[in-house]
Amino acid sequence: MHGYALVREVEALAGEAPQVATLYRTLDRLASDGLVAEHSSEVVDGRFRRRYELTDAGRRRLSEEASRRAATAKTATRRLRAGGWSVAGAGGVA
Amino acid sequence: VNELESRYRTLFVAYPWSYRREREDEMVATLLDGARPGQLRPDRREAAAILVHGIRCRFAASVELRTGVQIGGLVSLLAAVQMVAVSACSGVNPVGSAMRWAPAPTGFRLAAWAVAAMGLFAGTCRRLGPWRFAFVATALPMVAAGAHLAGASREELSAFYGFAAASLLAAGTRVWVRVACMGAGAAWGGAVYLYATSTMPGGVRWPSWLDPGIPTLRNSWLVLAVCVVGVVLAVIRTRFVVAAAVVAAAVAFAQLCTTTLGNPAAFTIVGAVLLAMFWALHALRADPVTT
Repeated sequence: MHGYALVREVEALAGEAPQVATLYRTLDRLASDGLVAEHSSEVVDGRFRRRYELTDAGRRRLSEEASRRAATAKTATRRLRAGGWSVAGAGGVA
Repeated sequence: VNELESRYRTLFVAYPWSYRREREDEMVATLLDGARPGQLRPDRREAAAILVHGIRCRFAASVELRTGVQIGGLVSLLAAVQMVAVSACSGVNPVGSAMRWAPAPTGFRLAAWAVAAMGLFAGTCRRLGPWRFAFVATALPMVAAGAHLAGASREELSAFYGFAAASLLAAGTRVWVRVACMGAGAAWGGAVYLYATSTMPGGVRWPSWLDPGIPTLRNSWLVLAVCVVGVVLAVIRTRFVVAAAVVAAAVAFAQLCTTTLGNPAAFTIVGAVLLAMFWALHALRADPVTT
Protein backbone atom coordinates (compact mmCIF):
# COMPACT_ATOMS: atom_id res chain seq x y z
CA MET A 1 0.00 0.00 0.00
CA HIS A 2 1.50 3.38 -0.97
CA GLY A 3 1.43 6.68 0.91
CA TYR A 4 -1.81 8.13 -0.37
CA ALA A 5 -3.63 4.80 -0.06
CA LEU A 6 -2.51 4.75 3.57
CA VAL A 7 -3.90 8.26 4.08
CA ARG A 8 -7.26 7.10 2.72
CA GLU A 9 -7.17 3.93 4.78
CA VAL A 10 -6.54 5.83 8.01
CA GLU A 11 -9.28 8.29 7.09
CA ALA A 12 -11.72 5.42 6.57
CA LEU A 13 -10.76 3.86 9.90
CA ALA A 14 -10.41 6.95 12.08
CA GLY A 15 -12.74 9.36 10.33
CA GLU A 16 -9.99 11.92 9.75
CA ALA A 17 -7.10 11.97 7.30
CA PRO A 18 -3.67 12.11 8.93
CA GLN A 19 -1.14 14.76 7.99
CA VAL A 20 1.34 13.38 5.50
CA ALA A 21 4.32 14.35 7.68
CA THR A 22 2.71 12.55 10.63
CA LEU A 23 2.03 9.50 8.49
CA TYR A 24 5.66 9.28 7.41
CA ARG A 25 6.91 9.84 10.93
CA THR A 26 4.79 6.87 11.98
CA LEU A 27 6.00 4.82 9.02
CA ASP A 28 9.61 5.58 9.96
CA ARG A 29 8.96 4.36 13.48
CA LEU A 30 7.12 1.23 12.37
CA ALA A 31 9.89 0.45 9.90
CA SER A 32 12.58 0.88 12.56
CA ASP A 33 10.59 -1.45 14.83
CA GLY A 34 10.44 -4.00 12.03
CA LEU A 35 6.65 -3.95 11.79
CA VAL A 36 6.46 -2.49 8.28
CA ALA A 37 8.77 -2.97 5.31
CA GLU A 38 9.16 -1.49 1.88
CA HIS A 39 7.62 -3.77 -0.73
CA SER A 40 8.37 -2.01 -4.02
CA SER A 41 8.67 1.38 -5.62
CA GLU A 42 7.52 2.77 -8.94
CA VAL A 43 6.84 6.01 -10.76
CA VAL A 44 3.19 6.52 -11.67
CA ASP A 45 2.19 9.60 -13.70
CA GLY A 46 5.53 11.19 -12.87
CA ARG A 47 5.07 10.67 -9.14
CA PHE A 48 7.31 8.47 -7.07
CA ARG A 49 5.46 5.86 -5.07
CA ARG A 50 6.82 3.44 -2.56
CA ARG A 51 4.67 0.56 -1.45
CA TYR A 52 4.77 -0.80 2.07
CA GLU A 53 3.58 -4.04 3.54
CA LEU A 54 3.25 -5.47 7.01
CA THR A 55 6.00 -7.79 8.09
CA ASP A 56 5.11 -11.04 9.89
CA ALA A 57 5.87 -9.31 13.19
CA GLY A 58 3.70 -6.37 12.15
CA ARG A 59 0.84 -8.67 11.21
CA ARG A 60 1.06 -10.42 14.57
CA ARG A 61 1.18 -7.13 16.45
CA LEU A 62 -1.79 -5.77 14.52
CA SER A 63 -3.76 -8.92 15.13
CA GLU A 64 -3.05 -8.77 18.88
CA GLU A 65 -3.93 -5.09 19.01
CA ALA A 66 -7.16 -5.62 17.05
CA SER A 67 -8.16 -8.50 19.34
CA ARG A 68 -7.39 -6.44 22.44
CA ARG A 69 -9.45 -3.52 21.21
CA ALA A 70 -12.28 -5.79 20.10
CA ALA A 71 -12.36 -7.34 23.58
CA THR A 72 -12.41 -3.89 25.19
CA ALA A 73 -15.24 -2.78 22.91
CA LYS A 74 -17.20 -5.95 23.61
CA THR A 75 -16.92 -5.50 27.37
CA ALA A 76 -17.90 -1.86 27.14
CA THR A 77 -20.93 -2.67 24.98
CA ARG A 78 -22.05 -5.41 27.35
CA ARG A 79 -21.83 -3.17 30.40
CA LEU A 80 -23.59 -0.36 28.62
CA ARG A 81 -26.49 -2.65 27.71
CA ALA A 82 -26.71 -4.02 31.24
CA GLY A 83 -27.14 -0.48 32.57
CA GLY A 84 -23.96 -0.72 34.55
CA TRP A 85 -22.84 2.71 33.40
CA SER A 86 -24.72 5.86 33.97
CA VAL A 87 -23.36 9.21 32.85
CA ALA A 88 -26.33 11.19 34.19
CA GLY A 89 -27.22 11.87 37.82
CA ALA A 90 -25.19 11.60 40.95
CA GLY A 91 -24.18 7.99 40.37
CA GLY A 92 -21.44 8.87 37.94
CA VAL A 93 -19.56 6.20 36.12
CA ALA A 94 -19.62 2.79 37.66
CA VAL B 1 6.81 21.00 -11.63
CA ASN B 2 3.64 22.90 -10.81
CA GLU B 3 3.25 25.72 -8.34
CA LEU B 4 1.88 23.57 -5.53
CA GLU B 5 4.66 21.03 -5.86
CA SER B 6 7.26 23.75 -5.87
CA ARG B 7 5.80 25.24 -2.69
CA TYR B 8 5.71 21.89 -0.95
CA ARG B 9 9.31 21.26 -1.91
CA THR B 10 10.27 24.62 -0.44
CA LEU B 11 8.85 23.52 2.90
CA PHE B 12 11.12 20.48 2.85
CA VAL B 13 14.16 22.64 3.61
CA ALA B 14 13.20 21.99 7.23
CA TYR B 15 14.35 18.38 6.81
CA PRO B 16 17.95 17.17 6.90
CA TRP B 17 19.40 16.65 3.45
CA SER B 18 19.61 12.87 3.64
CA TYR B 19 15.99 12.63 4.75
CA ARG B 20 14.98 14.72 1.76
CA ARG B 21 16.95 12.47 -0.56
CA GLU B 22 15.27 9.42 0.90
CA ARG B 23 11.73 10.66 1.33
CA GLU B 24 10.99 13.99 -0.33
CA ASP B 25 9.82 12.73 -3.74
CA GLU B 26 7.58 10.16 -2.15
CA MET B 27 6.08 12.55 0.40
CA VAL B 28 5.51 15.26 -2.20
CA ALA B 29 3.76 12.69 -4.43
CA THR B 30 1.51 11.72 -1.51
CA LEU B 31 0.78 15.39 -0.78
CA LEU B 32 -0.06 16.03 -4.44
CA ASP B 33 -2.26 12.92 -4.57
CA GLY B 34 -4.29 14.37 -1.73
CA ALA B 35 -4.44 17.94 -3.08
CA ARG B 36 -7.78 19.50 -3.97
CA PRO B 37 -8.36 20.26 -7.67
CA GLY B 38 -6.92 23.68 -8.46
CA GLN B 39 -5.12 23.92 -5.12
CA LEU B 40 -2.12 26.25 -5.40
CA ARG B 41 -0.95 26.63 -1.84
CA PRO B 42 -0.07 24.01 0.76
CA ASP B 43 -2.66 23.38 3.42
CA ARG B 44 -1.65 25.37 6.52
CA ARG B 45 -1.87 22.49 8.99
CA GLU B 46 0.00 20.26 6.58
CA ALA B 47 2.69 22.92 6.13
CA ALA B 48 3.05 23.27 9.90
CA ALA B 49 3.30 19.50 10.28
CA ILE B 50 6.03 19.33 7.62
CA LEU B 51 8.05 22.09 9.28
CA VAL B 52 7.70 20.61 12.76
CA HIS B 53 8.54 17.10 11.59
CA GLY B 54 11.53 18.42 9.63
CA ILE B 55 12.94 20.21 12.64
CA ARG B 56 12.30 17.19 14.84
CA CYS B 57 14.26 15.09 12.36
CA ARG B 58 17.16 17.49 12.59
CA PHE B 59 17.23 17.36 16.36
CA ALA B 60 16.67 13.63 16.58
CA ALA B 61 20.42 13.22 16.60
CA SER B 62 21.88 9.79 16.37
CA VAL B 63 23.98 8.38 19.18
CA GLU B 64 26.78 7.81 16.68
CA LEU B 65 27.01 11.44 15.70
CA ARG B 66 26.71 12.61 19.28
CA THR B 67 29.59 10.39 20.30
CA GLY B 68 31.69 11.65 17.40
CA VAL B 69 31.09 15.23 18.39
CA GLN B 70 31.87 14.54 22.03
CA ILE B 71 35.17 12.87 21.20
CA GLY B 72 36.08 15.63 18.80
CA GLY B 73 35.14 18.32 21.27
CA LEU B 74 37.30 16.65 23.87
CA VAL B 75 40.22 16.48 21.47
CA SER B 76 39.92 20.17 20.73
CA LEU B 77 39.65 21.02 24.39
CA LEU B 78 42.73 18.95 25.21
CA ALA B 79 44.60 20.61 22.37
CA ALA B 80 43.67 24.03 23.76
CA VAL B 81 44.75 23.07 27.28
CA GLN B 82 47.96 21.62 25.96
CA MET B 83 48.64 24.72 23.95
CA VAL B 84 48.12 27.04 26.91
CA ALA B 85 50.18 24.78 29.17
CA VAL B 86 53.05 24.66 26.72
CA SER B 87 52.92 28.41 26.37
CA ALA B 88 52.81 28.93 30.14
CA CYS B 89 55.81 26.66 30.66
CA SER B 90 57.83 28.48 28.05
CA GLY B 91 56.70 31.93 29.11
CA VAL B 92 55.17 32.67 25.74
CA ASN B 93 51.85 34.41 25.25
CA PRO B 94 49.84 31.88 23.25
CA VAL B 95 48.24 34.58 21.14
CA GLY B 96 51.33 36.74 20.87
CA SER B 97 52.80 37.03 17.43
CA ALA B 98 56.32 36.26 18.65
CA MET B 99 56.55 32.62 19.65
CA ARG B 100 59.66 31.53 21.46
CA TRP B 101 59.57 28.24 19.56
CA ALA B 102 61.88 28.32 16.60
CA PRO B 103 59.59 27.67 13.65
CA ALA B 104 59.98 24.52 11.61
CA PRO B 105 61.04 24.81 7.98
CA THR B 106 58.36 26.09 5.63
CA GLY B 107 58.45 22.81 3.73
CA PHE B 108 57.60 20.87 6.87
CA ARG B 109 54.75 23.18 7.80
CA LEU B 110 53.31 23.17 4.31
CA ALA B 111 53.57 19.39 4.25
CA ALA B 112 51.73 19.25 7.57
CA TRP B 113 48.96 21.39 6.19
CA ALA B 114 48.82 19.36 2.97
CA VAL B 115 48.44 16.13 4.94
CA ALA B 116 45.81 17.75 7.12
CA ALA B 117 43.91 19.00 4.08
CA MET B 118 44.06 15.59 2.41
CA GLY B 119 42.96 13.92 5.63
CA LEU B 120 40.04 16.26 5.92
CA PHE B 121 39.09 15.78 2.30
CA ALA B 122 39.23 12.01 2.65
CA GLY B 123 37.26 12.34 5.86
CA THR B 124 34.38 13.86 3.97
CA CYS B 125 34.33 11.14 1.33
CA ARG B 126 31.44 8.83 2.14
CA ARG B 127 32.71 6.13 -0.19
CA LEU B 128 35.51 5.38 2.25
CA GLY B 129 32.93 4.28 4.80
CA PRO B 130 34.06 3.99 8.40
CA TRP B 131 37.69 4.38 7.40
CA ARG B 132 37.23 8.03 6.60
CA PHE B 133 37.54 8.59 10.31
CA ALA B 134 41.11 7.26 10.10
CA PHE B 135 42.02 10.11 7.80
CA VAL B 136 40.34 12.64 10.04
CA ALA B 137 42.03 11.24 13.13
CA THR B 138 45.35 11.55 11.33
CA ALA B 139 44.67 15.09 10.22
CA LEU B 140 43.69 16.41 13.64
CA PRO B 141 46.85 15.80 15.67
CA MET B 142 48.92 16.54 12.59
CA VAL B 143 47.57 20.04 12.47
CA ALA B 144 47.58 20.44 16.23
CA ALA B 145 51.17 19.41 16.69
CA GLY B 146 52.42 20.62 13.33
CA ALA B 147 50.87 24.06 13.60
CA HIS B 148 51.31 25.32 17.11
CA LEU B 149 54.50 23.52 18.06
CA ALA B 150 56.23 24.45 14.83
CA GLY B 151 55.70 28.14 15.44
CA ALA B 152 52.14 28.80 14.44
CA SER B 153 50.62 32.19 13.99
CA ARG B 154 47.27 33.10 15.51
CA GLU B 155 45.69 32.46 12.15
CA GLU B 156 47.08 28.97 12.00
CA LEU B 157 45.83 28.21 15.47
CA SER B 158 42.40 29.51 14.55
CA ALA B 159 42.49 27.40 11.43
CA PHE B 160 43.31 24.39 13.56
CA TYR B 161 40.04 24.82 15.40
CA GLY B 162 38.29 25.14 12.09
CA PHE B 163 39.88 21.92 10.89
CA ALA B 164 38.91 20.24 14.12
CA ALA B 165 35.31 21.35 13.72
CA ALA B 166 35.22 20.24 10.09
CA SER B 167 36.74 16.91 11.01
CA LEU B 168 34.09 16.41 13.63
CA LEU B 169 31.40 16.90 11.06
CA ALA B 170 32.99 14.18 8.98
CA ALA B 171 33.22 11.88 11.95
CA GLY B 172 30.55 9.56 13.26
CA THR B 173 30.99 5.88 12.71
CA ARG B 174 31.32 2.68 14.68
CA VAL B 175 32.74 3.19 18.15
CA TRP B 176 35.53 0.62 17.89
CA VAL B 177 36.76 2.10 14.61
CA ARG B 178 36.70 5.54 16.14
CA VAL B 179 38.62 4.47 19.22
CA ALA B 180 41.22 2.59 17.15
CA CYS B 181 41.67 5.52 14.81
CA MET B 182 41.96 7.99 17.64
CA GLY B 183 44.71 5.81 19.10
CA ALA B 184 46.54 5.74 15.78
CA GLY B 185 46.00 9.48 15.40
CA ALA B 186 47.37 10.15 18.87
CA ALA B 187 50.46 8.06 18.10
CA TRP B 188 50.96 9.96 14.86
CA GLY B 189 50.49 13.30 16.64
CA GLY B 190 53.01 12.24 19.26
CA ALA B 191 55.55 11.46 16.54
CA VAL B 192 55.00 14.87 14.96
CA TYR B 193 55.31 16.50 18.39
CA LEU B 194 58.65 14.80 18.99
CA TYR B 195 59.89 15.78 15.57
CA ALA B 196 58.79 19.39 15.99
CA THR B 197 60.38 19.78 19.41
CA SER B 198 63.66 18.06 18.52
CA THR B 199 64.44 19.49 15.11
CA MET B 200 63.64 23.18 15.10
CA PRO B 201 65.91 25.11 12.78
CA GLY B 202 65.88 28.81 12.00
CA GLY B 203 62.82 30.97 11.66
CA VAL B 204 60.70 30.89 8.57
CA ARG B 205 57.59 32.91 7.81
CA TRP B 206 54.57 32.00 5.77
CA PRO B 207 54.87 32.97 2.10
CA SER B 208 53.40 36.44 1.66
CA TRP B 209 50.50 35.19 -0.46
CA LEU B 210 49.40 32.96 2.42
CA ASP B 211 49.87 35.57 5.13
CA PRO B 212 46.51 37.05 6.10
CA GLY B 213 48.26 40.19 7.27
CA ILE B 214 47.44 42.34 10.24
CA PRO B 215 43.73 42.17 11.01
CA THR B 216 41.96 45.50 11.01
CA LEU B 217 38.49 46.59 11.99
CA ARG B 218 37.40 46.27 8.37
CA ASN B 219 38.70 42.68 8.24
CA SER B 220 36.79 41.92 11.41
CA TRP B 221 33.48 43.07 9.99
CA LEU B 222 34.14 41.03 6.89
CA VAL B 223 34.85 38.03 9.08
CA LEU B 224 31.63 38.58 10.99
CA ALA B 225 29.72 38.79 7.70
CA VAL B 226 31.22 35.45 6.64
CA CYS B 227 30.04 33.93 9.93
CA VAL B 228 26.51 35.12 9.35
CA VAL B 229 26.42 33.85 5.77
CA GLY B 230 27.82 30.49 6.84
CA VAL B 231 25.20 30.05 9.54
CA VAL B 232 22.38 31.04 7.21
CA LEU B 233 23.61 28.58 4.59
CA ALA B 234 23.77 25.83 7.17
CA VAL B 235 20.22 26.50 8.23
CA ILE B 236 18.78 26.29 4.73
CA ARG B 237 20.89 23.36 3.55
CA THR B 238 22.87 20.73 5.34
CA ARG B 239 25.05 19.15 2.71
CA PHE B 240 28.52 18.63 4.08
CA VAL B 241 30.11 21.24 1.87
CA VAL B 242 27.75 23.86 3.23
CA ALA B 243 28.27 22.74 6.78
CA ALA B 244 31.95 23.16 5.99
CA ALA B 245 31.15 26.76 5.10
CA VAL B 246 29.97 27.23 8.66
CA VAL B 247 33.19 25.72 9.85
CA ALA B 248 35.01 28.26 7.75
CA ALA B 249 32.92 30.86 9.52
CA ALA B 250 34.04 29.33 12.81
CA VAL B 251 37.64 29.73 11.73
CA ALA B 252 36.97 33.32 10.84
CA PHE B 253 35.19 33.87 14.12
CA ALA B 254 38.09 32.38 16.02
CA GLN B 255 40.39 34.73 14.21
CA LEU B 256 38.15 37.63 15.07
CA CYS B 257 38.16 36.67 18.74
CA THR B 258 41.89 36.26 19.00
CA THR B 259 42.41 39.48 17.09
CA THR B 260 39.98 41.51 19.13
CA LEU B 261 40.84 40.20 22.56
CA GLY B 262 44.52 39.57 21.99
CA ASN B 263 45.14 37.75 25.25
CA PRO B 264 45.26 34.15 26.49
CA ALA B 265 41.66 34.35 27.72
CA ALA B 266 40.66 34.58 24.08
CA PHE B 267 41.49 30.93 23.62
CA THR B 268 39.13 29.92 26.37
CA ILE B 269 36.41 31.99 24.76
CA VAL B 270 37.17 30.69 21.30
CA GLY B 271 37.14 27.13 22.60
CA ALA B 272 33.79 27.66 24.31
CA VAL B 273 32.30 29.29 21.22
CA LEU B 274 33.50 26.51 18.96
CA LEU B 275 32.25 23.80 21.30
CA ALA B 276 28.88 25.55 21.31
CA MET B 277 29.01 25.60 17.52
CA PHE B 278 29.78 21.88 17.47
CA TRP B 279 26.62 21.24 19.38
CA ALA B 280 24.58 23.54 17.17
CA LEU B 281 25.96 21.86 14.06
CA HIS B 282 25.37 18.53 15.70
CA ALA B 283 21.69 19.35 15.77
CA LEU B 284 21.72 20.66 12.22
CA ARG B 285 23.42 17.50 11.06
CA ALA B 286 20.89 15.26 12.76
CA ASP B 287 20.35 12.51 10.31
CA PRO B 288 17.99 9.76 11.44
CA VAL B 289 17.95 7.96 8.10
CA THR B 290 21.59 7.41 7.32
CA THR B 291 23.10 7.15 10.78
